[in-house]
Amino acid sequence: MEDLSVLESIFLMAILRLKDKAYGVTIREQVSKTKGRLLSYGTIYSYLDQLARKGYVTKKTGQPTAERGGRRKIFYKLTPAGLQSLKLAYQLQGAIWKDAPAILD
Amino acid sequence: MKKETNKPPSMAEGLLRRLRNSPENFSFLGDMEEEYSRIFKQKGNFQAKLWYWKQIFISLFPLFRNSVLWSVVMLKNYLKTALRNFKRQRGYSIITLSGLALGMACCLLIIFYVQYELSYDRFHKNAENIYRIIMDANIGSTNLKVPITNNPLSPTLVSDYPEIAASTRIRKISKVLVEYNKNRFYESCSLFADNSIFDVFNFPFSKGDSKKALVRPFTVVLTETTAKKYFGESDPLGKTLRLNADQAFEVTGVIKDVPHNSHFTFDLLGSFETLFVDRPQSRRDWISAHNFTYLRLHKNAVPSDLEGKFPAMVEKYMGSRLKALGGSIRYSLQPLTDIHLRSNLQFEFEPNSSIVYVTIFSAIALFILGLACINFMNLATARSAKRAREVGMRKVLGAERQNLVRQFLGESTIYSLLALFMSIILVRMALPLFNAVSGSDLRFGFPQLAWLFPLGIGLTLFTGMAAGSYPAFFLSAFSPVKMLNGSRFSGAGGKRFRHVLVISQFVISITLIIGTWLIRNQVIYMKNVHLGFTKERVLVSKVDYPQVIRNIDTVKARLKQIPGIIEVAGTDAVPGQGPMATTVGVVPEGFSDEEGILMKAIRADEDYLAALGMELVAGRDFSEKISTDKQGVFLVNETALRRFGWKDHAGRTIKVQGLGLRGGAVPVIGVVKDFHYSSLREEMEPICIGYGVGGLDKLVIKVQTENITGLVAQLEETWKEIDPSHPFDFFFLDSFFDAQYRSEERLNSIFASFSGLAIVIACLGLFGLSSFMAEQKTKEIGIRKVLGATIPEVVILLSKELLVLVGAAVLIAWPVAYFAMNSWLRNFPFRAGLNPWIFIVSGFAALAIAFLTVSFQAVKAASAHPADSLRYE
Repeated sequence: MEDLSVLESIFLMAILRLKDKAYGVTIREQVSKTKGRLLSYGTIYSYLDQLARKGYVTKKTGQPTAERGGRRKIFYKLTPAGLQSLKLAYQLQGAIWKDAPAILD
Repeated sequence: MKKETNKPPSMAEGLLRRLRNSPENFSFLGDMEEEYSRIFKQKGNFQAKLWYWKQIFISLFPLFRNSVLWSVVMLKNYLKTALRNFKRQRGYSIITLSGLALGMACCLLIIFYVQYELSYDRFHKNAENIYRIIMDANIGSTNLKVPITNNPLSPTLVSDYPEIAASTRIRKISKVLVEYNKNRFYESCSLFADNSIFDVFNFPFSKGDSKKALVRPFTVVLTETTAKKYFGESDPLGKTLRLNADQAFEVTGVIKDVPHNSHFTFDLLGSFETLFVDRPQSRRDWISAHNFTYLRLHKNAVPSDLEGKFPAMVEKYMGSRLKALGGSIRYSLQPLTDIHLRSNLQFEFEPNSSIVYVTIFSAIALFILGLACINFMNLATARSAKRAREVGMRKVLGAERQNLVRQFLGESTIYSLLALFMSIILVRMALPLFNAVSGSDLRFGFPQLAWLFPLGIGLTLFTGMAAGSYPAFFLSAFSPVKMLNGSRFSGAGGKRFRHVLVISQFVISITLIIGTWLIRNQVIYMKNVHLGFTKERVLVSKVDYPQVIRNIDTVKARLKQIPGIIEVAGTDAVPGQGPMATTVGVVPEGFSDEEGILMKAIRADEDYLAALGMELVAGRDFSEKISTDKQGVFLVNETALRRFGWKDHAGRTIKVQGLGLRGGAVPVIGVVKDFHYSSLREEMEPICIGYGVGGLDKLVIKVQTENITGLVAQLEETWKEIDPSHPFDFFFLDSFFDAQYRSEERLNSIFASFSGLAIVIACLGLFGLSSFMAEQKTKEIGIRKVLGATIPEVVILLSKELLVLVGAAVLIAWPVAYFAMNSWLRNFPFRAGLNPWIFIVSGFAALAIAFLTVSFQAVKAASAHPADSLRYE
């Protein structure tokens, strides 16, 4: 299994946090918050596509709502593989940054 | 209104939908709209729209990054494949490319030519509003339609009709001797015109005043080149030129040289007023017609309305005279821009071109480009076998049909782009040659280059698409299994298509060859047929100088003493004069005055028939010994006799209007055998030859010598003693007469070059095809040779198929050429027949050329060692 890139882990964490409310608008908010910069929907969706292709997330279409001009939402959810990768990434990150405060300062 | 404002901009939405076609689109748009409506509530319509647009814009790159990246990768791959294919099959590629380049060069040249022909006379600022007056005259039984009009017409039109902005008279004059200090030249391109010529047309002045340059008599305007010829760098204004040794003209202006694409050109422009100095009464002469009249109408004037007013004018000014003559005259307007391509009247300035030729050339250029495209398609389909594996592989790896079509079309477009560059170089090199052949003046300057850009793109795309279409759709249609299966796929699918292409190529080539040959035949026929007079070894000299004319008998006697000169005759006209020929009204005995006939007339002396080798069929020649001849007698030709309805001429008279005669009866003393006074495009026409009516201004000198240059030198020496002020100036009658066929000769050379090109392109294609076929059959040949086949047998095996095609093309081309050329030849009352040998020989020549081309490859394949060919994979 490939290591996650930083942005990929940000996405996966955002989806995980949002639980069953993870769709375009909320994901964009979450990711942008973590990243500190507003990302475009183009970027969001091209990453979501990529994550879905790699099998980290699944898509589920929701009900259409009026405020969306009658369009359905797509809800994203982590797959077990996605969760597994995220855990591995967390361990890896922990290992990387373990003694960082002492050295970096 | 309100309902719409809380909707996001639909255009942005549409843009996105068009560009990105993914199942998540609805969600994407939904998200966008959700946030849009939030921003709309908080910040208002404008902000929300702005936000939406910005979001769409910044989303574009991340969304399409992938597809853009992939197309670049594929493009690189396509280019690489194209290059590899080019290298691997260098021979075919070069054949294809050079054929395409030839075709495109041809097409470009013709486009330039057509553009040049269509540009005639359009450099005048008001070209659309300029018209030439055409006169339709009916006098007796003859009808005359000419662009020639009388003196008072032009000023009358301007004063009577306010819709005419300006009008000018132009008169063409024959050669004049121009002299300044020691510089003496004959100028053959001189006109006289009203000063209003500068108001009707645009001839920009570089020196002098266009308002009054030609107002006074004896003033002249020169073109820059002419001015330089006489005055060098010094200022010509106010200087005096002597014309014909006795008239002094003041130079009042210098204009830019007349562009070549003008239907009339001149080097020297005299003031029209000069013509009235000696003959003031001619100002009001409504009957004699010598001038071209051009009008410039006001922008909103309707030419047909103006034409409608002409009959009343004719009645008012000429009514009584016309009634007396029993004739009628009708004037009409001819648009200036129609003259060069659509007017072919008697007495044109110079022979015009024809829209028919322009059309034919364009058609041929398209044909040749078509031939080159056919070659491309042919070779590409034939070579498709080589590409089959590649295509199969691409398909297996997920290429869609659309990708393949795009790849092949792209490849052929690259080819045609390369070909375009080559063709531009070719055009650049061929231009001088083309100008010489077509008699035009095309340049490869900035305007053409500016044209070239869109033209080149258009041509490249067209050729690329046309040439690549068949291979693209043909190759992309097969199933990958069949293609990867390998050697059994032989490109045979396109066979019938290829056959049709080869046949059509050769039909075009053979038709062009036959056409070239028949035109050549007709030109040779026209030059060599017996004309009823002898044009060889005859010198004609214009001697329009009073001191020579007055003593013409002494001059003749003096010249006759020169050894080698057999006969010297005085006249005012020689055959081949075309539009310059004099026409008179003739009323033969027994006809009423209203039944007069218009005839060509020649003034001549008693040596004319002998000098030109004309034959008398009845009666006698003129004689200086018979005193009554001096009072005016006529010879007529056989056609005239028939026209008169006379059995013979004995004792008959005719009444002649013209040649200084005022309609008194003059006797006809003999009948001349018919001779071709005009070109062979014209029927035999009635001609009368007058004696004792004065007006001789030319000498016809019949010589008999091996050493023409020596004789001419001697003539010039003698002439200096006769008339020191005018250099001896002459032309040869045969080249003068044959100059009438220049347009046919031009057509012939253009046909010849085209048919050469067509056959070269067709053979390039054939060469490519035959080498392909030889390659395909390498193994078969090897096996046959092992089993004992001889080289000739193998050659026949290989060339049979293509030669059958060429044979079929010959059979189709024969009737095509026959009908096309038959209708062309019908323009000539006197024509060389359609010699069947021309058809047979052309057909067999095409077959022979095809055979040579094919057998070159066939022999090569057949002589290869079977061991090598069987090893071949």
